[in-house]
Amino acid sequence: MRWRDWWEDVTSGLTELGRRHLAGVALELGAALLLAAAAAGLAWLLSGGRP
Amino acid sequence: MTVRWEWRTVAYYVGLIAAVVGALMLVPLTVAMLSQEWAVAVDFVLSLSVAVSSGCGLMMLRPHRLPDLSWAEGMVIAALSWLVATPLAALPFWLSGQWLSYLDAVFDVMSGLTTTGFTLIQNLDYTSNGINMWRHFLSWLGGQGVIVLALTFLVRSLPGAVRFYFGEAKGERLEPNIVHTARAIWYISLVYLAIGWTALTMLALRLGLAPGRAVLHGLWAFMATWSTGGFAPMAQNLGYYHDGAFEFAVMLFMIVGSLNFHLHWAVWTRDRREIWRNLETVTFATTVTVLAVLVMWDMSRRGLYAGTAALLRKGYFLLLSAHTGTGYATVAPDQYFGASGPLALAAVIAAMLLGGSASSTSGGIKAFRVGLIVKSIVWDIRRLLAPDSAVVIEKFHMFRETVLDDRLVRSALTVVLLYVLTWAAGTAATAAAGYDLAQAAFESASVTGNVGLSAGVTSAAMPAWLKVVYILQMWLGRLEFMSVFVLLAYLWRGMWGR
Repeated sequence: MRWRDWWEDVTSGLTELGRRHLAGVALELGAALLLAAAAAGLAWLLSGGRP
Repeated sequence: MTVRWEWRTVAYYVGLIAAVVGALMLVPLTVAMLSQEWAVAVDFVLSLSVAVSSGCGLMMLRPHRLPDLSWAEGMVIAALSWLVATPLAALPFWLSGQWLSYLDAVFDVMSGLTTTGFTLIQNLDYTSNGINMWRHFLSWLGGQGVIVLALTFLVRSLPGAVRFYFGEAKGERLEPNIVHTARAIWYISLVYLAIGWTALTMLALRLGLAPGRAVLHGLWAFMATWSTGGFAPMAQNLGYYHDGAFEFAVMLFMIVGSLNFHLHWAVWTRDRREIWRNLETVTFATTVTVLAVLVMWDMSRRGLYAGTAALLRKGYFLLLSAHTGTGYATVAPDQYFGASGPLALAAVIAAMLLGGSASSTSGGIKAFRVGLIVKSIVWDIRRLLAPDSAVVIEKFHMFRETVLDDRLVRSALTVVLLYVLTWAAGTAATAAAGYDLAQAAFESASVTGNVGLSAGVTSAAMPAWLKVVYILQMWLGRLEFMSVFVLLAYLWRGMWGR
């Protein structure tokens, strides 16, 4: 395989990773963040608004 | 004659996995050599030689032509692989001299591979990089599954491979082809490894750790978080870093690590909405939130932690660590176990037993089963309220719309019953060893759910027979019983011919 074919394989693989899979990662981390934010809100309520 | 033929096939695959365990020791061996820990490197070379040679010895027993595996053989291989891999992986620990006995070393390996996180190591703060790498690597590998590992790297077109994949309680396949499924699991883990390792290394650097140490601590913390294992390189556990940002990042990775691999794959490749609709994620989010309220309310009213930040960093972190099966703690056991009230402790015990998602790195009953049981209760109520002639259908969404039926509910209830029985047996055993009932119930839930939070029972000083009970409990909890039962039946048949 010529280096140009190899480079195209790598870049297309990375594009695919970035376009589809990393968006999935961002969504999952966002959902986890939402769950933690809900807990922070509850903690704030339970502590009577103390920081 | 039939028994002998089955035995040789099983021996071949178990030997294959033993050889893989040996080959994996190259990773900590490399770390030990880079850290110029020559004595540790020699321990790894010796252990590696024993594991590879015993694995190759077993592989030489292979029958002339490998037959298609039956379901029973697949399950026996899954269960037996753990029993063979564990004592081999314990060799470097034992040789290092940091464990008081070989049993203690075996305990720690089972704890790592089952992603439990209990440890009996002595002088953890002075542990070499090579040994720490092996501890965390075992935990990370255990999260993926020992069988998944073998399927990924060694088996290309194994007939019946699906049968030992299911034997390890990994649940549904991500892809139609089982080997592609195993590779997809590794792909997901490696992408997260790159992200999590980078993030935690940056945070460790920000805390002032030397660059080399920050890289290793970032890697180990991520491995133990993603695998929901909970091993830590320092005796103070996560409290060593004493940093809100580090703890917050770990919280996010604990949540993501406890998600179903099938869900990751669906969100990454097919349908992003799955994360909001999936029965398992909805159940997990609900139980985490409800139990977190109980823990934080109890801690708050007792004046244990007064402010929002303290409640989050101590109370919520503890609950999340218990629910995801990670077992990380930001405070010492006598602070969370000794000072918490009964309500908070009951909530943490419940969280440890409930666990994360099916087909994830987590242990426990699993959110999927809890969701199914709740759905079945709703279904029963709807059936009671409906006219006699009405046909009531209850559906749930988990990657596709599925009609709830009695068979699914029965299978979920069976696993729940077995978990509760195992927890009760472990509680009775711990109490029989002289510990009080609350301590026993907490520790047993932690062992059964593969969590690793301790009420002060697990230590090198505990009776040897209790260590064996805990090793079996961790193994049963991880494999979700069926593979172990099939293994016992297989051995029974081999011995008595029935």
